[in-house]
Amino acid sequence: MTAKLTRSALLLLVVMITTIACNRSLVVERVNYSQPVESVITPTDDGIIQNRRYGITFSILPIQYEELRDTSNVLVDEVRMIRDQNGFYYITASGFNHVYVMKPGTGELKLEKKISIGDQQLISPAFNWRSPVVQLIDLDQNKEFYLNHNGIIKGEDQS
Amino acid sequence: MKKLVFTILIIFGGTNIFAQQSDYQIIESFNSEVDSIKYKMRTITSSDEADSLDNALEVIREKFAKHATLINESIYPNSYEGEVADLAMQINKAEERLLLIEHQNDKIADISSQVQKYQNELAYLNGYVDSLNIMIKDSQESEARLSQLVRQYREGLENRDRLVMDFVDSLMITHYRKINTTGSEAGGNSEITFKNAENPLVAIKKMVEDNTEYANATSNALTIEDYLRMYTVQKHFSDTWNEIGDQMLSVYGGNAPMQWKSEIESGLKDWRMISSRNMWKSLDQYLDYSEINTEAFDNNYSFYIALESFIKDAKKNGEQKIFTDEEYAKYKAFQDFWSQKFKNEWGDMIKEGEVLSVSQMTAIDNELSQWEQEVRPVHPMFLALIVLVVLSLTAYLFVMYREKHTH
Repeated sequence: MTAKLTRSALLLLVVMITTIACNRSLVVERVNYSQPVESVITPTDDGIIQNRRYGITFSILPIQYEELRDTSNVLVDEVRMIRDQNGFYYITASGFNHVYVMKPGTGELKLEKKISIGDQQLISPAFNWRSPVVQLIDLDQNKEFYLNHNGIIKGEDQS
Repeated sequence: MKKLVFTILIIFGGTNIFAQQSDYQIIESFNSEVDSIKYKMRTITSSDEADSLDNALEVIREKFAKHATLINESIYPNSYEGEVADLAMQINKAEERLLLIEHQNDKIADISSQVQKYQNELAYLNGYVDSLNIMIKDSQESEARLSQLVRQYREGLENRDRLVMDFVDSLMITHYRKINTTGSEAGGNSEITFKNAENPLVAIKKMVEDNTEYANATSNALTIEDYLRMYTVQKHFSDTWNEIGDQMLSVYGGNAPMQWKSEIESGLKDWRMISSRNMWKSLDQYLDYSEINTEAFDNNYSFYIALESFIKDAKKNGEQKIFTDEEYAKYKAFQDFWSQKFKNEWGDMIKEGEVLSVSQMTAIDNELSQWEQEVRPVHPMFLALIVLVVLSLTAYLFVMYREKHTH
């Protein structure tokens, strides 16, 4: 009787292990999402940003509201965005004081970090990918920052 | 993490040491300069401009070489080296094409001056021939002087026709070769714009009109040889035009190739009609003067049929009059015309103008040979021989008869 129980328990254990093994999700690691060059996109009248090259479309209005507290009109001429190797989007525009680090989710971009670049607004911002970080420069003000998704690593007005 | 930040600080230490540059701007600048060269390449018109573009491309190559990796990533699936090499190849092709066109333009200038030269010479000869014709018509002078004027007039016309033949052989054929060369070497883009006076079609049209006018202005001073020559010149001109006319129209016809075609071909048709009428009429008169009375003819086929009928009729008559020399004299007259004049003296023009085809001439030769056999007079020795045979036979029969009755 005991031997019978032991066999049954062992069989049950094998079935459970097999089931667990089959349900394990497939994960590909060390994926590099980085984009070599920033995208510069003019929003539509509705504030839609459509990046055809990298295949992403979203509205700039929530970010504009967060920055300027205004969604009555599209106030941004050109949106500059780049993606780092971890997949975070860095978004800013002329007239902004911040860089918005957005984490992509299922049908959404969620704010990961709002990086302040100081009291002075950006005039001619541009992103460069300098692996493993993102470089933000302001061509008019001769400013330079190195960013990752946690914030400024080095640069003027480091916060 | 601290270690990574430290590394980064080392790598990027010393803010503002390096000039700030936006990668996006570098890409935009590269694309803009490449586009500018592509645009200019479509509008350049000389090999010097192509040279300048080549230099500009070299500047771009040097300026962006250090950003090659960035550009490659940005313009994938194209590449920096691919774009530059492709542009260099296109500039080279454009330069080769423009050099060829420049070379052809030099040739065109040469040919244009030749056209002018021909036109000047032709104008001079026209004036010369016209004045001689007037002098002949108005001449009250002696027979000898008139004869001299006629000779000069005919020589003038002959020189004029030779000039037209030269024009066809050298100028039209040269243009044809030039078209072919330009067409094949410049990728088919061989359309050339001419000032009106330089366009060879102008010269061709003028030449057709002038010749039609001259063919129409007949003179009593002209002979069958003159009309045959004029007919041959027209035939040669028409044949050459039929061969190369369409290509010349496609290159030199500008916006109205069909109009050029219609005008030139209508002129050629008139010229052919007049020169043909003159030649056949003159040939008919010549045969009449030579007492070769054929049926009427006014084209190649009817002329052949007239000759053939004439010979067949003569052969039939010859069969009925074996022992007369009259038919043989008729044969001799035709034979002299056929062999001496038609085939020998006029041979080149007959062949060139296709007055009769080779097969038609062979058929006439055969007919003529049979005719000769029919009408050749019997040799006197042959008659003497027959008389001798008859006499011998009679004598023999007489002797045999005597011997039979004696025994």
